[in-house]
Amino acid sequence: MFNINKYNKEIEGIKKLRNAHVGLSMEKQVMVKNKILNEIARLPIENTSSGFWVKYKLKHLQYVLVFGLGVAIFGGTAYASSMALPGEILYPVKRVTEKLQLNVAVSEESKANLQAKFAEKRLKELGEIQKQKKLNMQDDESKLSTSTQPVLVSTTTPALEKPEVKIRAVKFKESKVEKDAKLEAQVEVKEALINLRKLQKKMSEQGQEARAKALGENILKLKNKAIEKDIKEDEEEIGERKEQNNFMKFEQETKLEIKERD
Amino acid sequence: MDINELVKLAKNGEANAFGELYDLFANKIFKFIKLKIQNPEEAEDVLQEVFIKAYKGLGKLKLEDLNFNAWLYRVASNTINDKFRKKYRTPEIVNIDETFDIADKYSLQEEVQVKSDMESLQIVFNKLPELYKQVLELRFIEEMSLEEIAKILNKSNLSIRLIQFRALKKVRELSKNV
Repeated sequence: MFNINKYNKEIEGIKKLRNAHVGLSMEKQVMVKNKILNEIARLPIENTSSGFWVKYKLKHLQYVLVFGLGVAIFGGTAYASSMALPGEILYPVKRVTEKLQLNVAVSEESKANLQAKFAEKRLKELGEIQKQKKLNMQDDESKLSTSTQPVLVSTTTPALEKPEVKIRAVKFKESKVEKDAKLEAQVEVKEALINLRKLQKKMSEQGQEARAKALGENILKLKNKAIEKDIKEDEEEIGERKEQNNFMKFEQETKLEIKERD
Repeated sequence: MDINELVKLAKNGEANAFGELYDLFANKIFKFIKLKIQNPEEAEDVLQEVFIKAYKGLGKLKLEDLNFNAWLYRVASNTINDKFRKKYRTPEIVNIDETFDIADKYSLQEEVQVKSDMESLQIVFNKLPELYKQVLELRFIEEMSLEEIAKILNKSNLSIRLIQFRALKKVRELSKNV
């Protein structure tokens, strides 16, 4: 294939062109040489490894920067959201970050411990909300009692515009956030306790007493914290508490109505 | 001094050794450049660029089993290709009258009648596509192996053999018309 023997005549002819091809005159050759030598006097010889790394780094620098910026933005938002309470703008970011952490957790044990940690966070958030609610209520009441302008309640004033009713509406709004936070805490505490107990049982069966004991301590800690916040894990207890709450709400409303009538 | 010795010294930053390498290869490389870039001034600029690139790349060269000749041709080939790539991106406006002049000047029938065999072969060679010219120049004038040419032109061994075959066939065809 591609045998060139039959082209011997042409090959011989091309070989004779060696001297016919116009090269560089000596003058030009020296001129170009001087230019090159002047130029290279200012240049360092590229080292293999450093040259490669410089090129590699430059090529990937843009990706590193974009990735870094993304991490910084997400990290910053995630950090800022760690203090967020239910009902605030950054609260969903906090929950997403927690879900991500749970997905990344490798072992069952670390996952269960993380769940317990998050359940504790829910309880803490609930405490914060209740504290804020108390402060707001005190503030409202003090405003009402120190008001210099007498509250004129005419028979023609619509019920919704009465100041007491307005405060009540605000209280209701706040109590909705509180209610949701309580429910969230309840669910998370319950799930965390179930998983911790399951794992504790498994560890005991495998003879890993020390780890089972540590899990038991976590269970106890979480349970105590839940009781402090009036959270009970039992379904019946939850139902009971709901009824209690409804009754208290009804009582409060009735008291307010009686007050209004007086 | 041995080429590899000179390369070793140049690698260590000896400008004189690099100058000697230039003296040894400048003319050959210039001829190779001229196969594709006919304008002598442009070809000189490319020659300068080739040697500066070669100097910069000395650090990457491994001295074991070094074929500096083939490596330098490879640098030249890449530089020429870069030059053409840039040229295609910013094409020059060609005066149509000049193009006709060139066509008249190189009209085979008119020119070859009075030329000797050697001259007619040179005209035929000039009429070949650049890649054919490069392969024939490297193979029969610079007497390089097919492997070396394949490395320089960044092609497979087989495709160089094919190009060589087609180039010789084309030389015969064109010679018949002369």
